[in-house]
Amino acid sequence: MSAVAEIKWTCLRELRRNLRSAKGIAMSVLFLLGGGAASLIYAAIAEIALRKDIPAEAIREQRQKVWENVYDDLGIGQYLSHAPLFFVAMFKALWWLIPFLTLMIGFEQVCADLQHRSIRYDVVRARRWSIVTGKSIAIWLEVSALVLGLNVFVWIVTMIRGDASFAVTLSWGGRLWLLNVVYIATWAGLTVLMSSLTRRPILALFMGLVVFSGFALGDLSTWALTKAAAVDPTWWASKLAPARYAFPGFYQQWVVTPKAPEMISGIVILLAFGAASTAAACWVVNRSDV
Amino acid sequence: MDRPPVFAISLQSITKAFGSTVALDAVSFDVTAGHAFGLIGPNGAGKTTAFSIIAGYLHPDSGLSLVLDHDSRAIDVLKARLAVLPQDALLPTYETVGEFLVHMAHLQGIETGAEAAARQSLAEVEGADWWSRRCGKLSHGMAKRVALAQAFLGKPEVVLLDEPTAGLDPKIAFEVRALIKKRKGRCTLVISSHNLHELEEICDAAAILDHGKIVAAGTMEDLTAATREIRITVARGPLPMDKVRALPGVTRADYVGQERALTVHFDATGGDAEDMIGQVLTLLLSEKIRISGVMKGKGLEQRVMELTD
Repeated sequence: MSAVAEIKWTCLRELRRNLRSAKGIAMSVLFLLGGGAASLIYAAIAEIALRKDIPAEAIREQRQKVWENVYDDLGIGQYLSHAPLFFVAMFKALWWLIPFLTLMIGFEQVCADLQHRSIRYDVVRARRWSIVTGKSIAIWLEVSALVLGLNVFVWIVTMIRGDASFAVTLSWGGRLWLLNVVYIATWAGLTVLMSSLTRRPILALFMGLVVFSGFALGDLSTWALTKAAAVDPTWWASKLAPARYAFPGFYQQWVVTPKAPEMISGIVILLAFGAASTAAACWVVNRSDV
Repeated sequence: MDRPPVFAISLQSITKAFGSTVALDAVSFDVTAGHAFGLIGPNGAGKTTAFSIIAGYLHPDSGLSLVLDHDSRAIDVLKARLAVLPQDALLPTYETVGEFLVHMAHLQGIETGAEAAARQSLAEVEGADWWSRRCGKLSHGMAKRVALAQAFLGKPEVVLLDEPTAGLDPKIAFEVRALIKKRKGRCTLVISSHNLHELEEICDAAAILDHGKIVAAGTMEDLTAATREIRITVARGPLPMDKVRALPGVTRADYVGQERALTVHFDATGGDAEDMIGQVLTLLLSEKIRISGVMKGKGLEQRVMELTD
C-alpha cells in the first residue's frame, strides 16, 4: 500500500478521534461560541455606524485608513478597504489565536501515542513518516474546519443584517478564511513537531506554549525593531530587523497584499514552514525508539 | 521466483544499551521459518529488548536484525507479513474494537473486505460480540484477545507475541494458548514469555537470555536434553544403581533420594529416549520398584534455572 493511503487512513482516524473526544467537542463548542461572540461584537459596532448615519463611501475611506496604518502599506489599505471591516478584523485576531488553538487541539497527537505505546500497533503496518504526516494533516483539517465554523457564524450575521451581499461575503470571507487555512498549516506542522519531541502530553503542551509565545513575541519585537529602524536607519535595529522573516506571523503582510507574486510567496513560505516542521517531526519519530 | 527464506528471523550481533545499561550484548540467533520460537529469560535478561528490535520498535546500537531477509524496519516490504502483539501497548481508548481492527486492516493494505477480515480475526479470538465496544471499556483479558486479533489479522508470515498470557486468569490463558497453538504451522511464531511450561508446550526451539547475552539456543529437545537424558520419579528407594549404570548406552545415572528422582544420561548407542525409558522401566519394574513419573529431559524450567542467575 502506498504512503498516500497510509496518510489517508491515519488522517481519517485522527479526525474521528479528535472530533469525538471531550477535548474535540469542547473546542468545537468554544469555536462556535467564539463565532457567536464575534458576531455580537460585529452587530454592535455596525449598529453604532448605522446610528451615526455615516455614508458607505466614508466608511470605506475609514477602513482604508485603518488598514493602511495597520499594514503600513497604501496598496493593502486600498485592497482591504473593499472587505467588510469585521472580516479583516477577525482574520487579524485569528492570526494571533490560531497558533494556540492549533496547539490546544493537536498537542497530544503524537506524544500520547508514544506515551501509551499505542503507536506500536501502527508502526508495524505503516511508515512512521506517513503516520506523523497523517496526524499533521488531520490537525490542519480540523482547525481549518473549526475556523470555518466560526467564520460562517459571522458571515451569516453579516448577510442577515444586509451589510454585505452574498457575493461579497463569500468572496472576502472565503478568501480570508483560505489565508487562515494556509497559516493553520504552519502551526499544525509546528504542533506536531512539539508533540513528537516528548512522550508526555503536558510537557508537549507546555513546550508548545513557550515556543509559540516565543514566536509571537519574536514577531512583535522584530516588528518594533523594523519601526525603530525606519526612524533611525543607522540604529542597530536595522541589523536585527531581517529576523522578522523567521517568524510565520510576519507573512500576514505578504498574504493580504494585492500583489500576486508577494502573496504567492507568502503562501508558499507558510506552507513550507508547515511542511518543514512536519518533516522534522517525522525525522524525530523515525529516529525514536517507540 | 524468490525462494522463501530458511530463517524467518535472523539477529546478527545485536547490541543495544540504554544509557550505561547494556540490554543486549552481541546477541545472535536465527529462527527457522515455520517454527514456534521462544524467547526465554528472567526479568532484565533482554528478551523484551530483543523482541522490540525484531518488531522494529527499537533501533539496535549495532548489529543487524532481519525479518524475512529484510531489515526489521523495512515496513514497506514487511507490511502485512509481520504482525506483533506488543505486551504493554494500550489499545486506543477512543475507538471501538471494530474501528480499531478495521483501521489496522486498512493500514496493512486490506482495502476491500477490511471489515470482513477484522470480524473474522475477532471471531477467531472468540470476541465477535465485542465489535461495538469501546476499547477503553474492555477487561484486561478481552483487551489481550483484541490485541491478539490484530496480530492475527490477514495472513502474516511472522507473528511476534510478547507475553501473550501475562496477567490473564488460568481459563483465559488456556484459551489464548489454544488460539496460539491453532496458528502454529501456519506462520513463524516468536513468543516471549515467563511461562516456561507454556513455551515448552508450544515452541519448537528457543533462545535463553541472561544479562543481555544468549546463554543457550536450539531446539526444545536440545535445550531440555530430551534426547540425552530421562528422569524417573519413584515411590521409594533405594534403586539398583549398578544395574541401571550397566544398561547399554547409559553414560551416567544419579539418584537423589530426597526427591526420589533417578536421572539417566545416555548416548546414541542406547537408542532414542523412548528406548531408554523402556529399558530403565523394565529394569525398575522387575526389581519391584513402583514408578511415580517419567520425563524426557530435564524440563525447560530446570534448564533455565541452571543457566541463569
